[in-house]
Amino acid sequence: MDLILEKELVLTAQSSKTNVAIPFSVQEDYQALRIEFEYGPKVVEDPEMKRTLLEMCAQKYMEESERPGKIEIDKYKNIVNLITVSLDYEDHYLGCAHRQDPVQVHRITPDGSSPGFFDCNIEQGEYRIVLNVHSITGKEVTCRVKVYGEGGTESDRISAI
Amino acid sequence: MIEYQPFELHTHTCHSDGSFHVEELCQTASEYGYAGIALTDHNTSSGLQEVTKTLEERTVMVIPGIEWTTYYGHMLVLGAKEYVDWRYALPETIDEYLEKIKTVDGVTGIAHPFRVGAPICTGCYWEFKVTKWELIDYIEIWSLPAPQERPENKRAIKMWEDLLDQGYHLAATSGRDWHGFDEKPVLLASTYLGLNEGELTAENALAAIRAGRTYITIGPKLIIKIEDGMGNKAELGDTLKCTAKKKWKIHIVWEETDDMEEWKILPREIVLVGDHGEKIEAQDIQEQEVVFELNSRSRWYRLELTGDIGNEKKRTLAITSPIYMEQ
Repeated sequence: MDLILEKELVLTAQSSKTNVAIPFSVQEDYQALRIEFEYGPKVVEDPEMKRTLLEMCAQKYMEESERPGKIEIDKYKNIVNLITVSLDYEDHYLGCAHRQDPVQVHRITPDGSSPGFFDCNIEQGEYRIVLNVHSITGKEVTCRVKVYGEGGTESDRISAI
Repeated sequence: MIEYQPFELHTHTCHSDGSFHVEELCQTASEYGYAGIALTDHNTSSGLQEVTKTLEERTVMVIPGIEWTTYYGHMLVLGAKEYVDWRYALPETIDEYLEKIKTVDGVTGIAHPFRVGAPICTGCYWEFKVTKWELIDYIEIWSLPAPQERPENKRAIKMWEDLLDQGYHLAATSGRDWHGFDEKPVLLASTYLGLNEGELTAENALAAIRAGRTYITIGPKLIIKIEDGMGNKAELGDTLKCTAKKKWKIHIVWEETDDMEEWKILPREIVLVGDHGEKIEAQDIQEQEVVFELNSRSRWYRLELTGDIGNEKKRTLAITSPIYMEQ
């Protein structure tokens, strides 16, 4: 496996509702790409922040008659940060893994890509990982992305970013 | 001849955040009695790679689709011949994206417009500023299981009726937002699509939605005939003209389906609803065919079937897409 890309980013709430593009080049014939993506923290742990966010939601999205009289935070699921990963090759969209898992491994292959991604040959050229930052609340979130080429030469290489 | 068949138009698999494999979804939908589904994974249509002719013949017909799961709203896009990028649509630019979807023959529907948004459900609340509503084909006015009493669905119906009052033609659908196996029995709605000659093809299903030949129901099947007394017939979604000689009438009966006994669903009344959601006329529909006469006083008419669900009375059981009246 050849390491093609390794990137760590710190995102804040201001990055919510944005797409963060991380370009990389493939300069060899590979049989597959392996994408490792993780981010954290996933869960907003602070109970007071959870209460504040739930009250804000009720005010913003519910009509007065629908709003709970008192927010009982234990009755609600965890508030989580959500970042998903999508992939482009040149002008082509190769798919997206829209899931909650904060630790993900995906493979792009001609005949059995990970769910969310299309089967395709790994062409040489310009790719982009695009982190879709759906929601970050509270403190900052650290994201780590690695891309490996599988089935090429044996040496490790990191392309200039 | 138009024949109505039941569909589930909002589904997810492991290609996004569902737990179903594609085959499991299709098999389960078949067991539930659907004729077809729309496969609408979040931000990908990679699941369609697993839909084969053999699978469809064995289970259900699959309408190709995707749920645009954006930061400002969720939109179902069915039947688009090419991918249109969802990632950069902003509230003020959504019209441009709708136009792009239309150039590739996509059918567009607003999913659950009033579901609570971020951070509970990111992007779930519709915040896009659509000005070209003629580019939207349908609104998912019923969302999730047991949709008939959910407050967010009542708001969706109001939104839909406000747009009908403005002259837009929009079909009504239900979508359970199906992510996996049901752990216990759930009261489900179906969207019935009026298919040309009853032919089960994706093209036919999409044509039905575009034409507004839809109704939604939590059980009773509706048999609707629209005729003018001069031998002419019409369908839901059509635009009709009334004259001194031409008097359009809608004839409705309902038929029992398998789940109604389990949930103790009993239709009692059929209501003719017109402009501003005004209930114009209601008739008992328990045992007989009901006939409503239409006129041009309302810009549109829709039907609403009400009745009992167990001990709950006067519940909405079914809603049709509108018939439009030439003014």
